Amino acid sequence: MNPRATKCLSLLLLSAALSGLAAQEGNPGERRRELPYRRSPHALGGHDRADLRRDWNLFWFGGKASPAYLDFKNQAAMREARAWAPHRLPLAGGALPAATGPSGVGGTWTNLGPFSQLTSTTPDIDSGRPVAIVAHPTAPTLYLATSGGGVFRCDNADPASSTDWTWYSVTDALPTSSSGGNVSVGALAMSPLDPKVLYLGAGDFFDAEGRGFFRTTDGGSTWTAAPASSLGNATRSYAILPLDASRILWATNDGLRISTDGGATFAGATGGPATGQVWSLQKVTASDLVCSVEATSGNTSVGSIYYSSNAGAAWTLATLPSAATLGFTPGRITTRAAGDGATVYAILEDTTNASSTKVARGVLKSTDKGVTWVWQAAPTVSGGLFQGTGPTMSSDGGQGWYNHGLAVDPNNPSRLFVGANLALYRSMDGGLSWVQLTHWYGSGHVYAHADFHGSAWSASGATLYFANDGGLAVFRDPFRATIPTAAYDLSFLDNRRNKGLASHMAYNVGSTTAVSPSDSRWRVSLGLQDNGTRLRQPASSGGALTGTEGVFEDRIGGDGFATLFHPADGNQALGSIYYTDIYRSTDGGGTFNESISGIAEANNQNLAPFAPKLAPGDTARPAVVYTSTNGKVYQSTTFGASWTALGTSGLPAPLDMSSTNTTTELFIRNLAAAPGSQGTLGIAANQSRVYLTANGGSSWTKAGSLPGTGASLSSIAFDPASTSTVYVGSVATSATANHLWKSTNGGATWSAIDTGTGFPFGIPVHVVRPDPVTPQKVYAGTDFGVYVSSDGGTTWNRFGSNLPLVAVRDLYIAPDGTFVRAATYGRGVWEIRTALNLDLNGDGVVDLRDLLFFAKYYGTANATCDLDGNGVVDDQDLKLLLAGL
Amino acid sequence: MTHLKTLLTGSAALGLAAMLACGGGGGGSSAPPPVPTATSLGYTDPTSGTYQLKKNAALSTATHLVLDLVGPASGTGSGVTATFSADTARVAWSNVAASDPTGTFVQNGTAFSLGTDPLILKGKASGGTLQVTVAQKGTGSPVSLGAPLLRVALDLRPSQLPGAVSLSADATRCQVLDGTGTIVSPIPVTVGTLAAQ
Repeated sequence: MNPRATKCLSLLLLSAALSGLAAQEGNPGERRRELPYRRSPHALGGHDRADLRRDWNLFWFGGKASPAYLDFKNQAAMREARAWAPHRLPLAGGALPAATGPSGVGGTWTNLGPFSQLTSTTPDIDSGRPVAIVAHPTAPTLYLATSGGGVFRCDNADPASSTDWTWYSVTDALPTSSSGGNVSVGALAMSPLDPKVLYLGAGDFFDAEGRGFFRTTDGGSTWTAAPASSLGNATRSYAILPLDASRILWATNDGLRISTDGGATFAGATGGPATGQVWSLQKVTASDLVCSVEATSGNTSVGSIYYSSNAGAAWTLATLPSAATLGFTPGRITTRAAGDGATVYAILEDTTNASSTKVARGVLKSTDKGVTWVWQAAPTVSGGLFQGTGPTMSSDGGQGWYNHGLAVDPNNPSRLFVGANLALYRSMDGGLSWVQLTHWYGSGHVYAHADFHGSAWSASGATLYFANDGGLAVFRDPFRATIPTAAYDLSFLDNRRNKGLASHMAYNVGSTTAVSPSDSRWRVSLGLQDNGTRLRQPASSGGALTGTEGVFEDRIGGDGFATLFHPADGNQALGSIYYTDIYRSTDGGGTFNESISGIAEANNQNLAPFAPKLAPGDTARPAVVYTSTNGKVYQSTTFGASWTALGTSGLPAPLDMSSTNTTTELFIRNLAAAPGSQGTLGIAANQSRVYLTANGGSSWTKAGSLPGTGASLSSIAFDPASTSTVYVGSVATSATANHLWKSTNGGATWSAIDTGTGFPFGIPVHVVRPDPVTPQKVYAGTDFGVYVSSDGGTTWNRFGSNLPLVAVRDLYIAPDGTFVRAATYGRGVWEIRTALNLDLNGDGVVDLRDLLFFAKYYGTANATCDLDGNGVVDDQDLKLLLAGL
Repeated sequence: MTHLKTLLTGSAALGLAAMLACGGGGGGSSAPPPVPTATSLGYTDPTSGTYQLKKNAALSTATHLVLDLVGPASGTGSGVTATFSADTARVAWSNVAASDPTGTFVQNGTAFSLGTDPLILKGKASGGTLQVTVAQKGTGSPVSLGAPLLRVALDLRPSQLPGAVSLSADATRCQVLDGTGTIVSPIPVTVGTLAAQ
């Protein structure tokens, strides 16, 4: 081929490639706006349903966890962390184990991400929801506290750097736990005297509650816990304010608590903030403080502001403008002090003027250290909370309890930023006028994820960090006079710094071992809290996965829930969003379309679950899949193309959420099909009930009662070898309740198996999965990670090393036994790849020399050769090894 | 054109040579001499070496050569792994016994006691390379290595000319699990001379 022809072909190929990329990705906002859920009729302005998610969590877990139960869990977590500590560190002086993941049997977990998103044309990457950002005063170190994944640290956090930031967890071994993640954090602060000293308050302020106050004096390597007796009834942390090395103020949902010994112990404050939810806490001067307090009754909160002139020893109620002046009754109030020692701003939840509360149009401003406040109403512009413009901004006003981003320039008290529902706004004149800086899908402004929360400034005040539901947003030039209008401008706002932060909250994971397409086994779908349904992406568009990729891309927006891949066709996948709204892809997840034909209750918030479930069918019929509404099981024989309701004979009437007169109505919490039988199905239902059918739903039978005080069932599964063997799990927030049961007679009777040796009794079980290859082997995904039994539940071991004590919400066990994937709530998705573990001798080659290595350790507890993780190297491991060689 | 010209030139020369060999195409009627075909595999055991690959005459036939890997009488152990290469244009790695499951490629010798199923016994052939491992379960009962540790087999392919056939052991991939429970690697494995005859 002559050089000219070669050049022309190259240009054509390049052009085609670029146009393909552009068509595929667009700008970040447009791309996300076009996701199926964004266009669905019940989208709340296209973003997630934080309010409904909050209610769902209360429903799913059976109410709030008590402080006593959270203390119990922390103690159990401490025992597990010690029992499985990789190095058995001495615990002198009360110090906790170093921040490394615990050990376990059966191999080593690898975090698959999500670490990044497609960025070839759209430089935005998100992560799970951060709650606090802390910047080092002199070094390029940044701490990011997340609602479910603990605290991450970055030591090369230079906003101008052209290289990626490197994040690492500093709380993997912190023994505090909640169903919201391994470490559910609400607040993080740095000592004003020593940047190595940080204080952590457990308990996310929205979702998962937690328990504990922790202090590190070495930048997060080790942590020391305040005693439980210091914690009051606090289960959520809203703010921490270290005034000096001794005096630490901690704002909680059980009032303000004060330490005078550097955070070692706490006592309740006196005065107004002693009770209620102390949502916001600010230092105006060394001794002048401001806080906001919510008194909550039912779903209604009434907010107030207190000030102190003696470092919190006493508090006085500030005088706010009347409700008549404001035009509403303030609910949640977020305050921020300027750096001038006098000015404080506040944004307020308007609980009066909308069916869904909103952040009011304006700010309260105080110039006397919070003693008096003036309401500065923002100009009212149709369609915007402040002045929001652009498409799909008409709903910029919901969730006034949730979106409370507020920051004030530490060098200029007139410059402030408000993150309202869908956008970030800026005032340069003390709140009199506003401009819009971002748009939630990048139309007319740079893209920034909606739902703003915490904020922080760099030491110089030049860089503004904001935490939103998309992760960390770095405003590199926050005071720029001319607001960018392009979808992105990295010199203005950089969303890329979330790269490497796999703090996503995964509800479910989908995978397959299909042989076609050839890369199917590396395909992963994730249902993520407010990060959509995402699919793993190859290194190049249209390429094949190799099993090493950490890039995941949205394919369905909003909150992502149940997701499955077709067991025999890697091109077919299912995702779901609220109320059994199922989406189906037949092109490997490239596109999803709503596929609810036949599901009468789909999209009905009263008759379908907020977080839907999907269950694969029996092994012989890979295209069969099941889902459920409140009282019905639906079957598809076409992998979701259409659905048919199974019979309900023997089942109670469905629960109608709009009814106020419910007694024994049925709510299907989860379902499963027996792999070895075409007609055997099970339902884990409300009120600790289990229903089974052996005839494909023609008739259902209520199983025997679960022993113990079971409640909040979460999962049901059949043994692949026997339809008579059934497992059921529970997420009850109770230290005395059983959480895992087994029946070997088709549900007639049950035995609790969470009492077996090695199982962390009292800890919620989100998912139970029998091994498809090895009889009697069963996995349980718990709030502490994964546990495995090789004797049907009599004895247990922690499965796999390196996984933090994290809530595992879903498990995929490859039917050929070659890998296990775990969906964690706060730490993304993890994998143990059994096939790779066959390189037992570690020479980089899986061959028959590994078999000789295995022979050496047969009969021992060698973890490398203990492939099934039952604590001993035996014939079961040999079978796995021989199958893989 | 250079390569094509060379090929054509070469072909012409071969054609001419063939014509000459046939007497120029006229006058003669004598048949070409018969090409000898090998009918058996000959194997001469190695005369030295710590681990030797020896012929098992009892199990071998003319075209099916069974070889035993024998270790040192002075040593004890629990298992062995070895890798061999042979010229698969002329011979093929095969099951030791016809009754072995397809693709077995290895039998236990007489030294090791493998216990009950599943066994630590596996062979894999890929191209001309055969990798085999046989071992007892665990290291608690080492045995003398001075006996057949494992058996492998080669079949003569059809229509082979007589002559030497390459056969070797990959010294870097032969190991023994010795009596102390240590994997000794590599171990010297000596093979004999193989010929089609």
